[in-house]
Amino acid sequence: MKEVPNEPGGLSMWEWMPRIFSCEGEPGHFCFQEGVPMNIGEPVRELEVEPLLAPAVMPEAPAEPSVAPQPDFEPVEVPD
Amino acid sequence: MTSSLVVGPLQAFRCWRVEWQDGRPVLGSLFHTTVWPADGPLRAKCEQRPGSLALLFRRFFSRKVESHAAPAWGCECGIYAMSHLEDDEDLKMSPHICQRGPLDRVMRVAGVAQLWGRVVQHDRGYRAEYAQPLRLLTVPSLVRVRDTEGLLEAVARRYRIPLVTRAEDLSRAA
Repeated sequence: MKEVPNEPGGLSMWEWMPRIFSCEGEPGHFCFQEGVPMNIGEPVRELEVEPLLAPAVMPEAPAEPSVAPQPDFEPVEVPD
Repeated sequence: MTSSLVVGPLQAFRCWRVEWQDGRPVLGSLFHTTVWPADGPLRAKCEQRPGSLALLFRRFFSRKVESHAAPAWGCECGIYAMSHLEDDEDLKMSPHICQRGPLDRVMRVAGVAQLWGRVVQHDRGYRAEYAQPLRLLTVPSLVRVRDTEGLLEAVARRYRIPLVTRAEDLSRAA
């Protein structure tokens, strides 16, 4: 863990205090600066990015006639 | 501001918090309490957090709560990811256990996410509307604790994403 000095960088106390316990300065800091959003630089342009696959809307298959064999008709014995 | 149409999702680097929550392995944001869903994409929303004293005062005295779709030009909202890394050394520390506070330790893992929807492109990265994890990097020499290995494998299974063991593979993938 690396302590962030008080004076350089123009950081106020409220900015550097939480960083004392953060991983900033260690390898991997690109994604871990406590309380500070990832440094992605200045905005350049806006994009509209399509997803790889459009949501799959599959039409329902038409109902097929049942081809299941019907049970054989068995005469019911009627008592006299 | 006109937006350009890009076909297909972007791929970019980012890190996640990895932990067990209610018995389930989850990927979470490092800066927020957001948990990334395992069964679909994460959609960004602007939380309008008081990042500065001026914004705090403005919100306190304003009856109208400003809201907008995320990410918005001029705001800081959106799902963050890096388009490229200046130093691959960063990737060689994944997974990594960070001391986030005096009593708070958190494991983070680097990886690649795919981004789509409304995206604000920056010099070094993006702020996106939708994102989904794509790959995670676990350098074997850093996975010393058995629980750590189990947690990472469980996360990969739940999110149905592969674990790659070399930083080069992750870089090439992105």
